[in-house]
Amino acid sequence: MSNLWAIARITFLEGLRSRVFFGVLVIALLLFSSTYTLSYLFPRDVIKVAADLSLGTASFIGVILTLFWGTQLISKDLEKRTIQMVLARAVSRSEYVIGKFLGISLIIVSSMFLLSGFSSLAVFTVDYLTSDAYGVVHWPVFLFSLSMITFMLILLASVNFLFSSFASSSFLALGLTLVVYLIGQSIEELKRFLETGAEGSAISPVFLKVIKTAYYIFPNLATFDFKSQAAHGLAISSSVVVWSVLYGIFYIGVMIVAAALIFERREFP
Amino acid sequence: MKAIFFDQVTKIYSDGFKGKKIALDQLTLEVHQGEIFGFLGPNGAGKSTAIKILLNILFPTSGRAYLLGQPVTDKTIRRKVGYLPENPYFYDHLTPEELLWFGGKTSGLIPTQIRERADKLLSMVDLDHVRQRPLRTFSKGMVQRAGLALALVNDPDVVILDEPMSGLDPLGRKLISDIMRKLKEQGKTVFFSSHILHDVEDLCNRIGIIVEGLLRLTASLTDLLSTPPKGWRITVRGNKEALASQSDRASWKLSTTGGLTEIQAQEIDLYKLLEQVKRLKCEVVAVVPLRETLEEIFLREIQKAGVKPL
Amino acid sequence: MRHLILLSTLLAFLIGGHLFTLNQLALNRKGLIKEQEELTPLPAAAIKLLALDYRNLIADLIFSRTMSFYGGKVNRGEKVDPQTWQLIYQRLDLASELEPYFVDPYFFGQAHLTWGAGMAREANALLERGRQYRTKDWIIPFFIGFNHFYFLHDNAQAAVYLMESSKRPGSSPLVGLLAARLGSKSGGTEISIAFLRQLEVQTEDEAIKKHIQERRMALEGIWVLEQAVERYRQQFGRLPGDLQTLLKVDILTKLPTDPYGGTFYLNDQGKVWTTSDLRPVKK
Repeated sequence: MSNLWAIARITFLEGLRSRVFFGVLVIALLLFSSTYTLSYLFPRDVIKVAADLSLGTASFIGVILTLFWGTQLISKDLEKRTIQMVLARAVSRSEYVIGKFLGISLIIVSSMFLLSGFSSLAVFTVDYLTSDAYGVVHWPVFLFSLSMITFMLILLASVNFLFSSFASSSFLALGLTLVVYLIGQSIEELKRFLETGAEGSAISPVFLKVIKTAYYIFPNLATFDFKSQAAHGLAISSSVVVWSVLYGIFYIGVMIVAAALIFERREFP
Repeated sequence: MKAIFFDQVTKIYSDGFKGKKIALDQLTLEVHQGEIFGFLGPNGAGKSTAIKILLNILFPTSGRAYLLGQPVTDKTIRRKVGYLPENPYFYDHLTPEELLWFGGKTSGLIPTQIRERADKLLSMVDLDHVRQRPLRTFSKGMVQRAGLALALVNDPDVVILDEPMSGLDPLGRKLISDIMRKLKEQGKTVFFSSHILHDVEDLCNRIGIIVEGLLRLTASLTDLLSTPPKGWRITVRGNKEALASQSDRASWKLSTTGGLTEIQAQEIDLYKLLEQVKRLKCEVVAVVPLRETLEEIFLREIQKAGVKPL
Repeated sequence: MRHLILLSTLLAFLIGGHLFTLNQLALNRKGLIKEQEELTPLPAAAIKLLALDYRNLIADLIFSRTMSFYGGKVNRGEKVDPQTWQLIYQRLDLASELEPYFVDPYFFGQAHLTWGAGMAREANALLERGRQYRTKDWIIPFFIGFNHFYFLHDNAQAAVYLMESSKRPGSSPLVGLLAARLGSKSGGTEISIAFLRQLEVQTEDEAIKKHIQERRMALEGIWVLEQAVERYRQQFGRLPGDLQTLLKVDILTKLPTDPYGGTFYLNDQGKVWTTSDLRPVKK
């Protein structure tokens, strides 16, 4: 609908033109150029390390940017009352939520596009200057891994959106989202570790229950991590990808619809 | 169909520890189509609250509000409404062009229409030369004018302005009042809140005075200001001693500056007064009826409510 | 309001979808994770450099990952090859270098590098750092001493470390005794049993405890037989032909059983040993 596109577009423009964005990009460039130097600190598998580092940087910068935009474009919208500019028009609260989220997703995709370019360039340089004995770059998987990172960031943005809809300050929403990110990355491994009961140690069943519940509530971000596959050129199971994406879509759906519900009842004195 | 209708709208804030605050108390108010309505009140009276309820930015605790016959919860009715908030905040990095594009798009206009309206409005508010510069480079007055353009981009039937003159220089104020007059000529309805009474006097057809959440008075301005005068103030040039002796008899108040004397008389009949002045062989320079000014009415209402004016 | 009902129903549907897809995903990923299990060499220099003030946290992470990796292997009944053992050792070493007071790597190393990997020397190298930093900890020099005695057959060194251990607070009085016994170079099996008893008391982990118990029981069996053989020699002036002879002359009422499933026998040099070689015999 035209309302959604209108809101999405102004959100996108607003995010793109912020000066912090350029600052972060400069940092990203620096980190990517250091990929070359750092790769040679590792004795074997130089290419794998280069892939690791550049994907890691892309992911790291991506998270910073996602949190930044979530704060700037959503939390601040509520704090600075600029939301009234939008709500006074003939748009519904739900259209606002969906439109904003579309705008943020667009800007995440655009900047990840840029970061993927840098990332690929960094790896390509190392590859070009190193003999094939140290490994080759598996480009399809590498690029796929980048796209999955992008998807993960969009999911993270949806979590931030939900927090912004009720958190009393933009900083609180930011902090909560960061915590969710950290938990989301580790929850799968933690659950697995506890389930296999390594070392025969006794884990309190209450604790196990807590972790299992957390597994269902917090987003399992590890499913979007294909860095190992990219670095080693491992095969990717298509069923895993399909379920991962479906899971991600449902999770995002839950976040956004919940946020819309909260917004329907929210006032802006 | 009424342009705006508040039907016993009440807004109560529960402020946590401080208890409840009644922002609006059973506000019932009508604004007719094609008129300019001035919504007056001291700071914190509830003017902005009432306006935000009209735009569905706030929800009433009880009661309902209507725009052009439709409940304000119906988002489509806002296509025919334009709103300029007090101290407007916009996305800083947008240009006026993009802002108006956004306004047009969300009101259902097609790109060619938007471009047309944008051209017209940007030149009307004198922002044509900066139409592609981001709003964060604008002065406060410029932002306000951009906001006005946004409010009018969809050619609304009802225009709602919250303290539109605040913070503007005389040039800016004239621009706004000219636009408001033009809107009225086009048959639009204008509803604005203010506490600058001078502007109100010149523009409005009707006014409403709200104090501490309660509507105290609604009246047509012409009615208010065409009540029979309680007296007259006549400025004359003439014999000072003669005037002085007459004033003692007729309980006039005199004040002389240079060659002119100002007579303040409580005499209602103007002709009788002029006869008296004529007999004293004075030259009449100015005649002003003494009535309760809008300011006096305003202050009276505030005092009745027990609020000390700041 | 109609809006709210619509949104709420949509939300309920989406939550259902979320739970369903997550379950499916978890199922699909079970096999995937195994594939990713692999230890790679870590750049020790780089990590030490970049650790900043997160050294302890990083040590924790490295150790816990190593531990869960090993645990996973054990659970799946997979054997660990020597290269992987080297990598495990490297990680333990790195973790302990980042945080020398961290006790887990030392215990883990003692439990697994010695018995499982046959890397007693590396274990001792690791424990050495623990000995230097954890000066109030008597167990660490005890471990080192044990390794010297049991795996490296160096009684002299063992005695040195045991003496040091006995001087540290909390040390059991037996430790000093053991040190003295080692110095006398006699009764190898007896000392081993004493060591193992001490170790058994120390160990909390059930799996390792069982391991040690088995060994102790086997050695106790050997010791009983050694005593019996010695009594026979004193009585008859020569070694018995085989262990059954001991039963015939009533020196023993029955032969002890080998918990590893082998049978005890007397070898050409007159030493008691077992067919199981102190390793679990597969039936």
